[in-house]
Amino acid sequence: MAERFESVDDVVDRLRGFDYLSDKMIAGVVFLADRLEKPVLVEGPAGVGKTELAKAVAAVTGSRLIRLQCYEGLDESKALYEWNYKKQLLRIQADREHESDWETVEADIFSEQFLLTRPLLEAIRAEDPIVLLIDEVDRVEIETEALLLEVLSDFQVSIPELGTIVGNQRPLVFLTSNNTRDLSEALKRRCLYLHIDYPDLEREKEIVRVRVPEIDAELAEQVAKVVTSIRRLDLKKAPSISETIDWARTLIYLGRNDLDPETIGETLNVLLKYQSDVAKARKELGVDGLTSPLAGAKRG
Amino acid sequence: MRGADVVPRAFGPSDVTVVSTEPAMLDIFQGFVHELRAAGLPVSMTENLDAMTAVEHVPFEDREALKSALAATLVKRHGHWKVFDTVFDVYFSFLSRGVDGGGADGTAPEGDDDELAQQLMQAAMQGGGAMGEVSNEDLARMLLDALMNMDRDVLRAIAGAAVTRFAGMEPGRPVGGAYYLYRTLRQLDSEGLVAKMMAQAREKGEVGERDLDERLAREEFESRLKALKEIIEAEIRRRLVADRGVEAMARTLRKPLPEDVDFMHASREEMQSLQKAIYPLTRALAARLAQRRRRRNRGHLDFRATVRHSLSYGGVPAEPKFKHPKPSKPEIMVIADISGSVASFAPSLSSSCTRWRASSPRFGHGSSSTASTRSPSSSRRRTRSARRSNA
Repeated sequence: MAERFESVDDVVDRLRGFDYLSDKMIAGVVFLADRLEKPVLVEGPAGVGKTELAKAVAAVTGSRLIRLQCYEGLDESKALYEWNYKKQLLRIQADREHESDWETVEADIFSEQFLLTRPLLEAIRAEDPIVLLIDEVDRVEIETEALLLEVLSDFQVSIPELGTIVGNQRPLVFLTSNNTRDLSEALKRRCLYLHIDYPDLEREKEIVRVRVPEIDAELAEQVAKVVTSIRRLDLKKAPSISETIDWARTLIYLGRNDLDPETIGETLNVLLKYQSDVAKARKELGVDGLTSPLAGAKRG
Repeated sequence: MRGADVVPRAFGPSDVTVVSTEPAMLDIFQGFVHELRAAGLPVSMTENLDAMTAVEHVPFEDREALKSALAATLVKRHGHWKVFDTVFDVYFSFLSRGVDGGGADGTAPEGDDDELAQQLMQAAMQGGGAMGEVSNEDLARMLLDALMNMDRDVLRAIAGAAVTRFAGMEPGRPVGGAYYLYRTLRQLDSEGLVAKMMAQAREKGEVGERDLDERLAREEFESRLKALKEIIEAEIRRRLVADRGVEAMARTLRKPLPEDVDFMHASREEMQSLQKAIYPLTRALAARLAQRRRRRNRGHLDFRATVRHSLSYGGVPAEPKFKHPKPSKPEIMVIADISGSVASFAPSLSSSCTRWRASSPRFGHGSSSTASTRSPSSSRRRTRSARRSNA
């Protein structure tokens, strides 16, 4: 298996080339995932770039991204494989005249033709280089989690009718979790763990500059500073990186080059999604009492 | 995993034998893993093996890379990070750049062209006695300059000098270093530093007139001060480890995990991390309840709908249809005591309720926050408040 990255710095540089600014921690874990051939469990608050990381790594390594979006009630027929039973029924119906004996029919309806591959099986059978992303794994029930274990540790699945299918490569696998529940020890044991937190001021500034190239350095710094300041407040939902970027874009579209209290007051709604949070932030940042057309519209 | 050079032995005090790692290094790593277990982290044998494999892929001198490799393989919960961080600092303090020649390379930081820093570094290396030429006032001035420019190398040098001069460390004392930190910070006037930085920034015209600018600048300076504290703390810790040895130090600094903290004696910071540890539990409860409700939602077979649908498959009932029962909505009352005697847990309980309500759709959205927003300390007499919400 060819190694995808040469060193930790190589990871940082190449991710940067695809507009993903990592830090040493993130790059270090990606590097290890490549070397140890282990999946990475990425945790952290919503909107800090967990999914983006997988996408960026796929882009960097020139791989196809296969994504399994998890949700409550996800089962193996949606994640792994399913027999196309409607088609099977039709096949049996078509054989009403009993031209072929039952053994043939049975062998026929449990062949590849009637197999619906779902993301995990697709990933295992893939011939081209892939990156597998299992998104929001904390949403599936604990019982369903077990179904991932075989895939994660040996990269194979066992289908009763077909036997065990072993993957012919070891792709990079990313699992993301918003930490809505504790994942099982068995799952965690099989993964490398990476916690991505909100970035520090410098990194956030860089991210804004990379993602919103039109912005000038000074405004980017101001944006990062205000967002960092807002995150310190006790809010229902702290602004995420994607919201910071949205905010920076908003400022550009509105043609504001300076973050004065009026501008902040007008555009806070891009950053914060709860009215109580907006009110708190306005008060704390000293932009309270100013009328805001956007805020007014939302309240009404 | 590169299984060839990793030979697992039976479970025991030392789980692993890694052939290609030097025995001395292996001892350090196994001591480290042991300490993590002693501190309460659930490190399994597989994870231990993974960690040993992982460190072979990173240069040992690169402290950050080593840390990320160990963290990725050994720490599987963010709440445990702080404990890991402390233990790592103790065990691998010899890798951090010290100022008295005890660091990994024992030299001044590379790429440093600041003469003052070099001077200071020299002075610090010679120990407290030889620092006659740098007075306390000079040191304070240099510190302020370094903080204004946020020059970490100079800060580290100053921290070294300050610890030598002010902490009054006595060899052999079984302490964790909090008192040394306090003494050093008091002598450096840490309380007044933010105000001084603000004043200097204002003089230079770096801070605007508006309240907002002031606030942002103050926060920036506060975070710099925090960085300084961390640098000093690391320096004290490093010296203590050099004095007393790794294991004794690790034992002194051992702190309970967030989930094991005693409620009655928790500090404010511990309460905060406790809240974070509880948070997934409330979500799990809400998710479990919602799931049970959803399962109940699947009623008995709807014969007519199934037959109607089967027409498209030529009369084969390929897809059964079900009737959905309409359950009555529950009425939930939470009766809570939020008086002063339970001040430490009342907020976390009430926020759990709020979250629970927010995450389960059937739990109404009536305005019932009056009880929870009331501060426990403000109410002297025992308050019983009932929260009632109709779905």
